[in-house]
Amino acid sequence: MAHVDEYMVRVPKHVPKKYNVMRFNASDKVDIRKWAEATLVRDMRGKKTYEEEEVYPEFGAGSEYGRKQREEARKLKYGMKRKKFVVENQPWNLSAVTPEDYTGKKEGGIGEGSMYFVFTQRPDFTFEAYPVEDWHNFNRKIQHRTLTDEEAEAAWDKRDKIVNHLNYMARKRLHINDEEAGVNEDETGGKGNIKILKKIKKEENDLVIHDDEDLDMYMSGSSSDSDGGSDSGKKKKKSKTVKKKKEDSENEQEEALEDSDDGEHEGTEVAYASDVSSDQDEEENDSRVAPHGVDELEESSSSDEEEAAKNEKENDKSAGTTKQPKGSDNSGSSEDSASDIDEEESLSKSALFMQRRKTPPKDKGSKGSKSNSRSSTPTAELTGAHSSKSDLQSVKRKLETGRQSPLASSMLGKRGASTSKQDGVSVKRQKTSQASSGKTTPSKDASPHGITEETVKKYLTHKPITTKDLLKKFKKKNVGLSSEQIVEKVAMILRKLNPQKIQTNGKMHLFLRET
Amino acid sequence: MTDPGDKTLDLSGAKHDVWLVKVPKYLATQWLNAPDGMSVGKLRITKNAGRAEVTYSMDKNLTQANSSEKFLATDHKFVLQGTCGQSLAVFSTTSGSNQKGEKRAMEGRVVQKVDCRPIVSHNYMQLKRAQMIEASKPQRTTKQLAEAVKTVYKPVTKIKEQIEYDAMKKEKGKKMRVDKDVLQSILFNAFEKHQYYNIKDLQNITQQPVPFLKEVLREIGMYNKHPGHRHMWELKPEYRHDKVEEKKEDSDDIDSS
Repeated sequence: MAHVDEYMVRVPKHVPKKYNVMRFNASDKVDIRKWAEATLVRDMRGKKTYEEEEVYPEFGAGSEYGRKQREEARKLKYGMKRKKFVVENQPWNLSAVTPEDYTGKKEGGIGEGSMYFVFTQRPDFTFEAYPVEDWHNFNRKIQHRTLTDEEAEAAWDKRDKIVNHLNYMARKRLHINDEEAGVNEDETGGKGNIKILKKIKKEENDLVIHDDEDLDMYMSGSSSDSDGGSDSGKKKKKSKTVKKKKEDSENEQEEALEDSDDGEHEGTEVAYASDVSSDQDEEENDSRVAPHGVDELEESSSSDEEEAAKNEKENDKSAGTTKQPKGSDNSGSSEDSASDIDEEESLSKSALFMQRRKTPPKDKGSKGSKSNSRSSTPTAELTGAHSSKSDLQSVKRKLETGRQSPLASSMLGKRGASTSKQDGVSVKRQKTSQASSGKTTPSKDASPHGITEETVKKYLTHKPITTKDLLKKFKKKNVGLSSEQIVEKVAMILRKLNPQKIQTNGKMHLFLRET
Repeated sequence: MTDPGDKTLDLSGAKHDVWLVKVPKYLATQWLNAPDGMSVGKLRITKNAGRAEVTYSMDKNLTQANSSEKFLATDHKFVLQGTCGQSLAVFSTTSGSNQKGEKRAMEGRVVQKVDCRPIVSHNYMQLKRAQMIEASKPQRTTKQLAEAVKTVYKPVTKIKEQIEYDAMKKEKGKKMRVDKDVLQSILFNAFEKHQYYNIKDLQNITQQPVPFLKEVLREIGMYNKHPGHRHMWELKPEYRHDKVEEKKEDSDDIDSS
């Protein structure tokens, strides 16, 4: 038969204890009966959030009368509501002898529809019921290290850029193995050498080297190798900016394409670069489509190669060594081969380039010359120096430099912040101007060093310029020539042109009226 | 900031087995309102072929105490649900005396989660019905007024507070200039407590007319024009209170001069 027990239920009042429920995850398999000792502490780290950052003395030296009240009133005026720090709401830290520690977070909304009671049995056939105040969910503390703010930022930047996760993770593992070595096993021998050399150089010069491959690593896992030695954070940041720049340049390309359709901007552009012949052919269109700075970088790199052959002293020797293997290497990334100095040069060039693109048209003259020299080179390169290479390679190379150039310009952009804020129209305009200047290049081809009558004329017509400045412009472009040679040439051209002489601030400026 | 409470968790109660019972609100309020020490009901545990059936019936005293309420669900069924593999524990916190912080103790392991369900009866249905009707009542209703509202605020030239303030001012009369020495001593006293004062605060403290106050302040203090403690007065370095004796002497000098 059924056995019936009867128990009294009491609800004791005025109990000092507050009953709380601890809930553990079922998978944690917690058995509190096995605990020998445990500590349960509130985590009060949330407190500092509510504390004042600046602490002023309440009394004595340095104290202000009624500062606290005034501060409070001021905050009230702006609608500030002071949050109370409720100790009861702070999470628990539980550590028992078990290997894991737990954190307990208070859970809300449990007792909304009903109430919970804890029933404990007493010896005298009674149950005592105590109302439950709070629930706390206890979870294991994580054992692994979490990312710091900076790391998280970097990781976020990479977020959607990893295509091949398998490859990425494998790479990462390798990195962990030989982070200092910095050379991946899958690299070809020649490349590895370059890498090492580069790293050494970097250590020497304390310059940061970046290359396309940094990008590649995150974009496509297969064809990439990474420069392990460089600071990863920096690299990431750089890659980010490069990406951005690339997008920008793409946009710009689009704009440029549109530009060719609409006539109004072309008109304005012509006004700036009136000295440039305005007939447009297919080539020019091509130059528009290509990312900006491609030509220029091409030029710089090619000129570098010439220089390397001519005078080694210009480049430091490590740069030279890195470069030569690169030339033989047909991996197709010209950037890789570029030495430190080359890089700097290209940077400075692209900086100028950027200024030209973005600054108002008064700088136009200098730009024109630059663009001239720039555009001249690719053809030379294609025909002359790299004739041995297949067309495919050269195209590849071109593309790669194109990718690189925004990177360099981005760095420059960082340097000269003033150039960065310009409205899109002006940028567009300059773009077209650049494109149009691109077509002038053939004329420049005539003289190997870009010192032609036309370029000098361009400078002179643009605005009054001192002879010193004028020479500076050419010196920058023609590293190979000695300054005397440049001076001689320029002087010859000047004599021919016979520009107007204007005295401004005690300095003689040369100026040529447009005819 | 660290936790002021007792760090160690008292595990003496960890071996106890407890039930965690979910109770409907209407029943819970009755339990909590029951007088101290009084039994709130009986639990009847029937072991029937290895299965335990638990029923609860409300104590008669409690029923009578709540007789004002129309309907009472007195009988409930306790549905034992086990723990479903989940580990639940009960711990208690006791807010201790001031020097000793909060005490934490393990009160037991939950061996049964119990659902307290009413046994459906006429009374219970009526109770629920009453609850529903109560819940569906709108909290605010429109009321038609028989007359227009007469307590309309009309514009006044002076509100009550202002009249009071004016009266107070008139009664006080103009602020009288005290002796210069007296004012200086008041100021020195004030500057002993804080280094920087607003002129308004000083005016409140000294109850002196502002021009006079400024006149004295210009002698012994300086005005900050720069951020940090902008627009505030402080004592000149020679009067600072960190050199109390010197200051006294100086003030004496000024008095004599």
